[in-house]
Order: sequence, then C-alpha cells, then structure tokens
Amino acid sequence: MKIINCPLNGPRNSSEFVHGGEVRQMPDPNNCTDKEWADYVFYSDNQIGVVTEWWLHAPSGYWFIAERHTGSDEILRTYDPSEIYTSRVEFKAKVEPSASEEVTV
Amino acid sequence: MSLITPEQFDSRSFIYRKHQQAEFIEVAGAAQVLSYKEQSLQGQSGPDMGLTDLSVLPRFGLRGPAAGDALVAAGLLQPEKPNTLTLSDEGLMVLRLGYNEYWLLAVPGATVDLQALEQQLTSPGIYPVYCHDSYAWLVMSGDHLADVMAKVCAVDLREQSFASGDLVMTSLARVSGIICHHQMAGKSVFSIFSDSASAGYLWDALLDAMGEFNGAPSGQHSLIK
Repeated sequence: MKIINCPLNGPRNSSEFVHGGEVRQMPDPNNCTDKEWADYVFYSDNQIGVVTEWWLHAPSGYWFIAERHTGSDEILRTYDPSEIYTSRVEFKAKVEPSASEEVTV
Repeated sequence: MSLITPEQFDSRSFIYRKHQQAEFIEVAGAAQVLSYKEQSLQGQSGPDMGLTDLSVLPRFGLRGPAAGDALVAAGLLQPEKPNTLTLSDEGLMVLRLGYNEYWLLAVPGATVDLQALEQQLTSPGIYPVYCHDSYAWLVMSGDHLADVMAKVCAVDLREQSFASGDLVMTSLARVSGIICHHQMAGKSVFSIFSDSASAGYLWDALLDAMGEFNGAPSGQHSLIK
C-alpha cells in the first residue's frame, strides 16, 4: 500500500487519507465575476506536473498540504497549512447600497 | 445474579447487551462491568489478555487556541507534545490529540472531580468536544498488546516505537480510532477510543484477534490496584 507522510501523525497507509482538492488562491468573493468564482469552486487545472493539494488524515481530522506529481503520483513534500495560511480568512458579506442605509450599527 | 443491571440506567454503554453474565457496579450514573461471572467462579485474576469496556466512565474534551494554556493555568499535567498523554496520581488522564485538542478522562478508581474541571475550563478560545456519548472506550490489557494490535493495525505499536505516554490516531480493524499506551494498576494497557456506532463491531473484532493469546472480556476490577 502507498504510504503518505502526515506532518502530524507520521507515515501512514494512504487508505487513512482523503483528497481535498487543489490549493488555490481564493478570489475576492465580493468583487470577482461569477465566472471567476465558478472557476475557483468547480474547476481544477488537471495538468501533468506538480500540484499542491489539500489532504485530510481522517482518523485525526487533520488537514495538511501535499505537493504531488500527477504523472508519477509521487508525493514530494507534505507540510502544515500554517506555512501558507498565517492568519484566519474572514468572510464579509457584501453590503448592498439600499440595505446599508437601514443598518444603524 | 447481579443486583445492578445496565437497564436500570438511562445512560448505558453502547455495547451493554454484549456483557452477559457480568456483575456491575454503579459508576457515574451508569452500570460498569466489575467482573464476569465465569471468571469470578474460577477464582482467578482473569484471562491472559483482557478487554474491558469503560465507555460509561466520565470524560470530556476541549479544543481551541486557548485550551493548552487553560490546562496549565488549572495546574493540570499538560502533554507537551502532540499525540502524547499524561496520567496523574489522582487518576486524571489528559490526551493531547493533534495541536489544539485535549481530552480529560477519569480512569477507574480516580479521585478527580471532572465535572468541576469542566466548568472551570471555559473561556474565550476554548470550545467543548463531546467525546463521552460519541466514543467507546475499550481497554486492552495483558502481555501481548503489540502482537494483537499487529493483526488489526498497520502502525508499529511495539514498545520501542510506541512507549508508555504515546498515542496514535489511526485505523484499526478498518475503523478510525485512537490508541493510547499508558499504565493501569502497574501494568501497560492500550486504551482504544472509537466511534460509538462501530463499538459493537470493534469489541467483537478485538476479542477475535485476542483469541489466540487467550483473550477474553474482563471487568474493571482487573484494572484497579
């Protein structure tokens, strides 16, 4: 069985892991077009080469990032998401002009 | 016949129907297996390998960025590294699961007040983890722990790579679970936590794996000094 090296739990059978899709830069949800948002949510590049992906170690509920070559399926590196994401991503609802007049806070 | 039965309580182990011919005592508002009838008749200390269901014993969890500091502030033994545990003299076991999640458990015979601790350990940055009603707690004891686990689990659980105080989160017998290596009554045991929904399956699977090492269900009395 293939072995994946989890940054938290160490080397484990690949059957303990769940694929979570490519790591991609999120467009600003309030200012991007619908096409850009759909592209971010639904499509992946699907190229041969090294991709950066989310993986979940299911028994511990731990998400991490792996760099994998889609041709050889070799996992080159795994690391904690804190290497890329240093702060919490906040989502702000888009305030419609008419609604903003009613908001008194 | 036992005077106390699991059916007398609203809170029961997930696998209480599997404990036939058992003597129970009341623990934390539920029935805990003290011993099994055929073993007490034999007058022996128990089988070579024992599997004990401690699912009814009290425990709670907390997670979040402030959880570790709160444990230190409360004067509790906090495991310093992820995936390790500490066990205090009062019988309080603290598991550190990953970076920011902790479970606090009272082992059999513990003198610690978990309810008071749970109320004390609340502050912004701490979120409760409900590990009591969703996880079964099984304890495997005996001399062949690593040999039995090698049949159902891919992780090396021999003493040299899995010392007392370590824990692993992995799959065993094809279900996800947490395996903790610690001491009870001066003996090495493996505490196994797994989803309550598959507790009955795991109980049977582990007993099946223990069969060749003379394994059998065992009561709480074998885990108390």
